[in-house]
Amino acid sequence: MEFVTAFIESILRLSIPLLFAAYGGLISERSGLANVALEGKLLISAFAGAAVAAATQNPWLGLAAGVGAGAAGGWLFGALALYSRADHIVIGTAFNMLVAGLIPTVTRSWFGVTGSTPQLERSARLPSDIGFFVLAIVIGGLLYWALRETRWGLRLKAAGDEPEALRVQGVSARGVRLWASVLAGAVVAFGGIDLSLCQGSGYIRDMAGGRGFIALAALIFGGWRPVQTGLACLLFAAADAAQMLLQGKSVFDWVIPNSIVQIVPYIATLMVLALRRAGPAASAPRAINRPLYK
Amino acid sequence: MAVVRFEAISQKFGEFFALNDVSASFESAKIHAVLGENGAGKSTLMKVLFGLQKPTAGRIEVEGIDRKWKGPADAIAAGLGMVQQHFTLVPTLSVIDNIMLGAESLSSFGRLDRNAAIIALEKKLPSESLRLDWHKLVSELSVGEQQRVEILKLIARDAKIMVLDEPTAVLTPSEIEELFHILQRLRDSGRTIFVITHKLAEVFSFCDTWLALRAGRVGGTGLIEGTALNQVVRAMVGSDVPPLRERAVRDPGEVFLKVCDVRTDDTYGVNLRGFNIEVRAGEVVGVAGVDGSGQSELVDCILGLRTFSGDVSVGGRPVRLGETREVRDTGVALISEDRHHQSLWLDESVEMNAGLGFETSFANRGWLNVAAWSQTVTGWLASFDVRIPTMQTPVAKLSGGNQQKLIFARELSGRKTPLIICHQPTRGVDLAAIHSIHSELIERRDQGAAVLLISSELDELLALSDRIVAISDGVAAGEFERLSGTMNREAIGRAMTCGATT
Repeated sequence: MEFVTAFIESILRLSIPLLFAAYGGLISERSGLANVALEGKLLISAFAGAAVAAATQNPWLGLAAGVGAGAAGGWLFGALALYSRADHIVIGTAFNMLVAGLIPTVTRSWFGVTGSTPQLERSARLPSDIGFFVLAIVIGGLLYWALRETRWGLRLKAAGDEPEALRVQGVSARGVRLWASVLAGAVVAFGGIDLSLCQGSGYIRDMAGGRGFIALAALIFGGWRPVQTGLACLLFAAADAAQMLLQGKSVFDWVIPNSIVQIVPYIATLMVLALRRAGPAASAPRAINRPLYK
Repeated sequence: MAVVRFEAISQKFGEFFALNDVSASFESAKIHAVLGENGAGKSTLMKVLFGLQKPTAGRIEVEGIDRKWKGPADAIAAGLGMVQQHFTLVPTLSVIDNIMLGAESLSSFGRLDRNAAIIALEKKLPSESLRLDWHKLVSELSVGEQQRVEILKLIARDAKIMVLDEPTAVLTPSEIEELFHILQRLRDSGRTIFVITHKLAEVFSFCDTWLALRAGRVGGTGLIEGTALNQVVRAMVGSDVPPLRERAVRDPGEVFLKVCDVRTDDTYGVNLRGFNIEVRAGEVVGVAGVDGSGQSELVDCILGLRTFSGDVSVGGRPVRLGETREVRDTGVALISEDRHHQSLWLDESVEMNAGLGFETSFANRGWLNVAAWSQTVTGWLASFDVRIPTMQTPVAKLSGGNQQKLIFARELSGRKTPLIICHQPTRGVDLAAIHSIHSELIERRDQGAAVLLISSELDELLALSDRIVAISDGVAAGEFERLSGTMNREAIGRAMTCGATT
């Protein structure tokens, strides 16, 4: 019994960064902005949060800084992708590489270490995961409601499916997408902060470990819909929890090598995506990655 | 009282007059048909009215006020609305969401108030037949219903003057009738409606007045009542006959291209509905029709690019889907309508483009013999008088006329071509190049080639063709022969705009 509660607890905890990243991705992709930059946004917000918390010893200032960095990252990514009219995937990849290169450079000049922030004291970290998990669920619920019932949701979906329909009404689809990208960055940021200020004690190099991409997979598997995407995140978190549980375990006398155990979540992601059946209800926003000229 | 007045409107694109001194006035609460062939200027005139195009000269008066639109937003604010030929609807949203989009009714917290929007809209409905299931997704609607959503968008925004660009092009006959009943209701409720079209049958059944444009000028205008069909046709196509190209007198030979009862079955778009045509060696057969009557589909079927039922044979060999290579090797030169996409690789050099499609003949075990390629295509280009700066110039830099001549050089030199398919061969081409293209076609015909000439320029067809088949809505709507004297401008114009029932 203890084992089961530990397993569930571990799933919930591991799902937090996935949920925030996937919901950020949902906001941006439903507006038509393909977002492979979730990983970079997790990293930049995790880093900004940890750096400010280390400097001020105040985790709440760290939280604010992380969210600010996420939103700024979202603005930068959105502006680059929208105003260059380039392929969003290319811009997203460039953004990830920029972040991966920038953070070690900054840590070196600020903290004299390449790629990480100093260990944070208990008092400079955020108290518990529960608040983050609840917030993620609330955001999922809000999205479910807002996509259906609000003007914001209506215009977001129109920008993602048929931006021309907005244009003829004198609404800038580009503006809708840019603000969606800023909001998406802020939402993803909570996932990054959870990694560095809650689950970890400071920023360490590449601490997102591909969670941005797993979140993207969950978003696709969930058909760009909030509830299904949330469930997909829990599924991938379960794979991760299983992996942690299996580490160091043995089958008969054979100890399973850790390197094999650790690939379980990634294999699960691949398998789930391969099995996903593309139905009309679960198809991508129609105008995703379509460049806009106005 | 005139609700819309144009005074000496001219619209120049470079040296070309899309509209030339057009003056006309339109009464309110009427359905006005704006007629003309492709490129006659009817869409341009409506774009000027709607603020999408700033006229070079002239003035527009709407409801007695002199108007200078900065953009469509000004026109919308003044009570104009336009339904584009290509709908701008979000298929994944419901009918009411599409209607609200951009002018949403809100309650607290930015929530959409769909009920308020529906109630407001239903109050404005002039006819019950406009009613739709407001909560249905647009993607689940038929094309006719989607068009109704576009009209409802205008009604919701209180447009008093509505412009519909070729609204019937995508509709079935029963949908067309329904659309015009709706338009008549809108008219009876005091709205003024402009319909851009070239289908005269509809104009005579449903519209109140007509304005025909020809080559950017007013060809004629009047009330439908008391106007004869022939008068409108003449205003659209003119009555002067272009000089006929001299040609050798010869009896046509064997049938080289045979298209028999060909039908296509495409859910969206135009379909051939039992089309027949034969082209013999040594004759030019023209296909006359307004754009989008099935011409592109016909070419696709002949080349094996599209599924069809019925029989197509080229040089006695039946054409099957996917056997494009085999069809071309039977000896088919293709001058495609879509020069930039189907015939050329715009960023590549003249040299490369001049040999495209003949790689195999320049290759030895997969290695291109570049020297032979270069030498051969230089010869081809020289014999067709293509003017090029260098062989390495990107083909995008050439003029339209030289691009087209390059395509002619390639298509007619690389292989023997007993069949030449020309689709809009002179569109976007300068006068000198048009002359040489026409001469080339007649020369080939005199030498015994079968030429299928598809064009929306009646002048071009009349000058070149031995026979003309009119195409209307996917069927052959009449055949006209030069020798037997049935090749008559008005009759062809009527067949292509009214269909076969004349």
